[in-house]
Amino acid sequence: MKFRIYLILLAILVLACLSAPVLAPCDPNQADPTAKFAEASREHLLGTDYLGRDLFSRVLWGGRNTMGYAVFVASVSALVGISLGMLSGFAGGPLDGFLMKGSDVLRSFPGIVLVLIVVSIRGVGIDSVCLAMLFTRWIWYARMTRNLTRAQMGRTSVLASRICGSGRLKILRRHILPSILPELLPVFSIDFGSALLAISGYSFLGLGILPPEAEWGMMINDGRNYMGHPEMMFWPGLCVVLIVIGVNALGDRLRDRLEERRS
Amino acid sequence: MDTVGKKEETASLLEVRGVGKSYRGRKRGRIAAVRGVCFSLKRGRCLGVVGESGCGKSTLCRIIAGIEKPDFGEIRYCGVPADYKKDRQKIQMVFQNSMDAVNLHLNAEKIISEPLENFFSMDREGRRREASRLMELVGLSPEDMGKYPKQFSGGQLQRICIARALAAKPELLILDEPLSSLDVSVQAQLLNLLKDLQEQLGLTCILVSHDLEAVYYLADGLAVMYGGALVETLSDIEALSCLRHPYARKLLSVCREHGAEDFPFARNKEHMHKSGGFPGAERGAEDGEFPGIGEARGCVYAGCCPEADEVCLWKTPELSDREPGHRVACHHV
Repeated sequence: MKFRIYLILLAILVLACLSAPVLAPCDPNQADPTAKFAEASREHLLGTDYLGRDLFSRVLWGGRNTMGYAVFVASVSALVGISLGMLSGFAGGPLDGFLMKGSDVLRSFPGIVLVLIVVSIRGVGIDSVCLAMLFTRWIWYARMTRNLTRAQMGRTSVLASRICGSGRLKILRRHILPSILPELLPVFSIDFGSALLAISGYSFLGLGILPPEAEWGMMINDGRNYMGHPEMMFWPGLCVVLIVIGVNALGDRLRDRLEERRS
Repeated sequence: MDTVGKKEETASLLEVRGVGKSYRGRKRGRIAAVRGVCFSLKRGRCLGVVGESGCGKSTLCRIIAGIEKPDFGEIRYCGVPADYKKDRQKIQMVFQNSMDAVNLHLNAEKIISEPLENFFSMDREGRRREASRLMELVGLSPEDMGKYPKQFSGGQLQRICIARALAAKPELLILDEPLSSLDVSVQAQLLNLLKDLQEQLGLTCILVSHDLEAVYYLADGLAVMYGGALVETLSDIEALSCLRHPYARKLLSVCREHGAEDFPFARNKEHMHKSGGFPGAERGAEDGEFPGIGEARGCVYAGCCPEADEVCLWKTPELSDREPGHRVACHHV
């Protein structure tokens, strides 16, 4: 029951943000000095911020930015991590050792330090933040995929497939990938949540998306200066919390389902 | 070279020459799974390999099937060293547990079609026709081709595995305990199926089993394995009662005791495991290895043999001819 509520909230939020160009009543970056800190009204559903920008529109457009970049980071790291993990697990031997040692080295960098380094080299911007996040995020997938692949490699069905004359690529594509993908799905959904938090976090620190572009983390940061108007922090904060709880619940449920099916 | 086959004039399809393989042990050193196995098999014959669990039968199968490399020795196929890239299609194998041996995400048609895709240039329609023919051949309804492994029973799934192996049109079919995960009535059905297929297709088979009765029904020749080595081979399974190695005799007597006057055999596998009929069985199961298996010298069975003396402990007996087509590895026979 709880899970359904999360799922419905998640779906509503995602759909609302996706249809921001249609739903948003105002231009999110359109400042209106005459309407600073306006109360919620028919014109401004959630009120306005310190520059008189419509909060509702900014939340919707900000969600597109935040979630869009989170999806991008999570997908690219999943793609890279799963490919390298499968390669490593399948090849074994020195290549496996090299890739896994390499990933250990990269993983030993704290994420925030890496972001600061990349930002100091390339300058502030969401692309620098994404790049820095991609450096370390694929490792999680690679490790997991590598171990799952190795477990699959020893299975009789893979031996049988070798005896049937199937080549390496075919075994990977037809036998190993379909078996490990369901296990990686919950990882992806949870990773998406943490990527979203990270992007909001870096924007909150002023490293990610640059003003005047709307982004949830940055909106929370803006609201910090105007504690008398908590709605500026409340709405984007609520959205971040709901999305993260929603995807985590989704991930947990997926994992439970899988375990049920296996037992 | 030992010959386990009746017709001496036809050339051997398969020759196994001094093959050995060892694995890293959990506690100490290396454990020899297969030690210096030699035999040859003629075209169209069926060799039964019997021995208790863990005696190296499956490892031997895997080596012959080319999915494990032997540490030493050689597999020769059609008189030349086996090239598993080239001969892949001709040597096929059926595994013990059918549920493990298939990909649960694929339906029966896809499972059977896999070798067809790899070995033959066939279009989709041709593969479907061939798969449905094979389903019929192994006694399943072609209408079930769309079903997934979990929708089949163990026996049906094993039939699908047999169909997959036959799809490659093999010359040599290795059956690694194909019946052991099935119940007795299904075992009988599958044995009949295998017998029919063998006669219809003129297959050369290696049937690995710990069930002497199944081997007697299907095979022409017999090889008894213990502790990774062949202890006795027989080219004519009808001469079963001539078995002379102490271990082989023990194996036989357990079957005989319970088969009463109607030898060969009634089914008493349960007894075989519980009776303590094989002195090594319990220790073997406990340690995951065989008495004496870690030692380089001596007879593999010496630790459990009632007739063992000092010679057996330090001298490895050679597998040598006692009669035509009958070889025994024992100092006391």
